Amino acid sequence: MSGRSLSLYAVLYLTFIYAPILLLPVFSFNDNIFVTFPLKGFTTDWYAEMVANVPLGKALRSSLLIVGPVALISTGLGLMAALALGRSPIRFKAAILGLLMVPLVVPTLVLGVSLLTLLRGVLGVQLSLATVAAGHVLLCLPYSVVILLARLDGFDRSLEEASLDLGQSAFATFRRITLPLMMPAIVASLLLCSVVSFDEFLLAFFLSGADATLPLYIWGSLRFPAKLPSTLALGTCLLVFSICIVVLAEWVRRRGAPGSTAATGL
Amino acid sequence: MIGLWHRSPALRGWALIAPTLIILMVMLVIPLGMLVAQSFWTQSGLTINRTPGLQNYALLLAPEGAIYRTLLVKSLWISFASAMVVLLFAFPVAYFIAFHVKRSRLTWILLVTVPFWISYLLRIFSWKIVLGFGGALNSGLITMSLIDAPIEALMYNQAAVILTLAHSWSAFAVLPIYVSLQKINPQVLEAAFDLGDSALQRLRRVILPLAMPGLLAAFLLVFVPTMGDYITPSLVGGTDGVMVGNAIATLFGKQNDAPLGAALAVATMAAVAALVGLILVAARASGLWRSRS
Amino acid sequence: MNTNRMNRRQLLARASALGLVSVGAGGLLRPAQAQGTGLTVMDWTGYEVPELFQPYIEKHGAAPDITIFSDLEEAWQKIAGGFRPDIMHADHWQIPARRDTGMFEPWDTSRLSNFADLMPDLVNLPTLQHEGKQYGIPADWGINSICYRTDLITVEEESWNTLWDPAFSGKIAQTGQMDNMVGSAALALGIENPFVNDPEIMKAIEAKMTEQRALLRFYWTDPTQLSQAMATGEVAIAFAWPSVYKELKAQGVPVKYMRPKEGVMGWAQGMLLMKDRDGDTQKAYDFMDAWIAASTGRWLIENYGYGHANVKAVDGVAPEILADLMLEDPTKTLQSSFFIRDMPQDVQTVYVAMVERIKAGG
Repeated sequence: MSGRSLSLYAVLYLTFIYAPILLLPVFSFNDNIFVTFPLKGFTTDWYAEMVANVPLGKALRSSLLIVGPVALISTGLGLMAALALGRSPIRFKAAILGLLMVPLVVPTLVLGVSLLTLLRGVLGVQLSLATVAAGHVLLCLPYSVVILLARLDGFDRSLEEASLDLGQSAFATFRRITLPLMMPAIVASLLLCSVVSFDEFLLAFFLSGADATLPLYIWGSLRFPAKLPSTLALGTCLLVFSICIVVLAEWVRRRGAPGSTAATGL
Repeated sequence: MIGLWHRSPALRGWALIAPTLIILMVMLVIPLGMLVAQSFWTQSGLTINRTPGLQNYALLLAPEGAIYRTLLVKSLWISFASAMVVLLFAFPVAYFIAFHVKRSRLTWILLVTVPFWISYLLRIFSWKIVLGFGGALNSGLITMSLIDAPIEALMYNQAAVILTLAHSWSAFAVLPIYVSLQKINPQVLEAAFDLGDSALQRLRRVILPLAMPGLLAAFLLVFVPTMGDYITPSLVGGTDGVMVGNAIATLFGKQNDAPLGAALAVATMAAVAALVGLILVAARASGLWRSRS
Repeated sequence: MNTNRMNRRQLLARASALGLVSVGAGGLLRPAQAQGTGLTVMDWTGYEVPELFQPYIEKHGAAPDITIFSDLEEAWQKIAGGFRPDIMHADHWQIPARRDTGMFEPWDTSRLSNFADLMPDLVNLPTLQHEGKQYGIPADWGINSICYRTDLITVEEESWNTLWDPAFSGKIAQTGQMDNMVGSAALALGIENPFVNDPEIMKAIEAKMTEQRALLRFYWTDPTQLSQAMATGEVAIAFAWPSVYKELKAQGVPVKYMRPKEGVMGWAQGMLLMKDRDGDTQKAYDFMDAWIAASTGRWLIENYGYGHANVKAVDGVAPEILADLMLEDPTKTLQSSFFIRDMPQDVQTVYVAMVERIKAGG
């Protein structure tokens, strides 16, 4: 595989994943509630409608509120679990791994109803965004553990052993050797857990109180064809915001010392 | 006792995994137990009869259960095909980022994730814009005079479902594969190169075995969740888009037959577990995967 | 030395474990908060807008907590799982089965100042009124019919059988909802009431629905999907909500909303009061009263294109809007349309299973 053909492929791949998404901005400015070619005319009405849509804004806020905690908690728990499964001589590893995968297999509807029964009927907890977040952590754990384990699996342990032999404390070894080695997987896990939490809506439906999350709201507004363009406008804003983050990341990297990527392990 | 704790790596391992296990026990084992128990009950109307029996499983195996078996097999196929397409698309990209991108790896990682930050339903919708009747592909082809009338076959079939799923889940494959590829020491690759291995030999002998944990992780993270996804199929699959998840959902809801739904859910989970197990065994047998754990 | 080293590592593990668990548990078990409005309503997305209960807001200063759903079945599941709204909005024909669970209590209609203005034909529906008690307060209702593109197809005679016309094969869309699917088949077959336990009727309906499947482009899951498909011409004729027709027409798409010779189809929804509730009872009645006010009804008709149970709701609405919605004479429309008056549980079970089987291709 030569570098050039790989670069070409990578660009094609980016085209594949971006092309459909980039049609959303096009139609968010199109003066037609029907998303179809040919385009009619330019308008910014849908953006005004989006801003005026109070429930939509609240739903976006709810989703953004839980994404961070869910990603951090899932990745934190996942890192501990992965270290235990990949580094400690504990028994029943296969069984534990199997159990960890179960949230992905149980139909979300079933999981939602039974978690609701557990929270309301047994524990008597009031439904809120916190209960949605708890459900999402459960759903994110498999992603986090699997990615972190994939990084750990087959990793050369000699560096860690050398560090311990040199009298470094276990904590220092973890911080200086293991953590940097794991960093790409930690970043990957944070990113994927965010995506999972931001997209999920069946569990969110069962576990939420009066605060609907974004996908929950978008799903429900499909009953109103006229609301579609303002939803596309929101998608466009999210896209622009995400691209800004990428640009910012690249800018920070370029401004920083040449070795800054090495520091994050990426 | 304290000394044993300090000297025992196993005990430390248990301590590390304990929080996760507690969460799983409380949030998963109890619901799962309820599900299994339910699958042995019966329901008529809104009344549930809790006398345990195997009638639901018997029905799934009986001629009347043929529709559920068909749906299960079809869903396994769609998910498997989507997962394979995703792996095929994702591997070269992950390889590129791991070995050919020198400094801006984080940027690349973010780049492949950004399309997935705009909410799942909008992503599905964007595919409808591409493949739809008045969509980008059809309009483009008509403008270029390659076709006279829109091609209807682009949407509402299994291929549309597989394509949409493959797109939706691509980041879930690129990242795990990248993460496991990136730990490969480039010197190992160079050594293989120096030994005169061809590109294909290097892939087979060095890269694939080292990337295997990532490939398997990616497969799991795409195949298993798509088995339960019934929204995508119902939005882009048309009348052919019904998957086993739809059947389970309607059994629990509209059809007021939660016990049969539970039995179908248990059967689906067993089928997924069996297929995943089979693939892990095959990976081991092929010699490409030598897991340490 | 060795012990000390392990100690620190293990201490770290324990500390981080504890920290994470407490963060998780803290989030989980945080006591009830933000539930201070004293009333929780469960309703479809789109019904959370303040215009639908303005008098309530004027009296209490704030909207109640509204939990939205997009699928009524999922909403029932959420209630079965232990979620307790004070008021719940539902399709009227689904109410008897839920009423029989004992979960809901009848309304004291004397506490609703607008109750006397509600259409008697709706108030007296056996699904809403049982043994002289008003379990469901009629709220919104409307009609459904067939919408078609006048430029793409020619319809000789406006009839429900056009949805079965092989000439339109591949250009037809049907709803995926059981009550409407069975209803259209019954109208096409000339069966007055399909919702009875009669194996022959059921067999005829099943054959009719199976016959239709082969002609369909899709069963639509949401009105957005349908209106998009009709705008592009992918679908030329379909079972459609009036709102779909309204929007297509507003955008200049050449469409017609049928008045089939067999009659249009009617629908209605009612509001239920939860027996075991945490909310404030007076607030529940205020909310309900605000919902059935004539001013609310007018807003609903003008903005959503639904009918409203209050007879005075049509006052002041532009005649062309009313004509499009066939609401010029609401009572007459209601009485002449195909309307589910009651659906026994066993009949419902048979039809739901039948519809799912047909949709899945069996």
